[in-house]
Amino acid sequence: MRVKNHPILTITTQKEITFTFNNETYSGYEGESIAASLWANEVFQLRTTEKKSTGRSMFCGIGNCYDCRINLADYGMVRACITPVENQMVLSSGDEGVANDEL
Amino acid sequence: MVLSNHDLIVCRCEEVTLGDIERAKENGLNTSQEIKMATRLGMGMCQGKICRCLIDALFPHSGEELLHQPSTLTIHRPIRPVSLGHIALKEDM
Repeated sequence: MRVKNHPILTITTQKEITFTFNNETYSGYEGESIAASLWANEVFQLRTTEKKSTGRSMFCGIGNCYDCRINLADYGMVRACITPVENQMVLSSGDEGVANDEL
Repeated sequence: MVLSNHDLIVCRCEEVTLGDIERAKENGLNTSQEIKMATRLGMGMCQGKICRCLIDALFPHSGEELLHQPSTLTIHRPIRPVSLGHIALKEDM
């Protein structure tokens, strides 16, 4: 998912950051989406479905289909394909909603 | 694993397969709106953004009708789903 060579654009190396997804630590680069970071780490399944417990990954990749929704700690559901990854992000598959103590 | 046509997913959000739609048809449901009510197709997280064109292709309209109303599925489209928690917190998303 990372563009490493491009005939026209110059690809510069971004700052490396770390984040956790389902209690595992992964590294990514600043400016890329959560889904792209996880994909580069060979994490393709982002969650399981509610009814049939089948896997879901990035599907449309443009924020339309909500298939890649994951939980961002202390925030709630985000779309992994369009949300930029940040250092020390804590992510998980389950949709846990907004933290209760904020309400 | 060999997939048959019955296992083809039409609606990814509500996990509706082509087999579910065929069963609904066998039960006498004829329009896309009826199928939607019976199977929850198009009523999931993406609000039919992905599957509406598929269900419209499964229940095509005649030419003249199509010009005036390309889809018979009622659309209650939000710009995007927002959790009640975020509305309560009045957070800028």
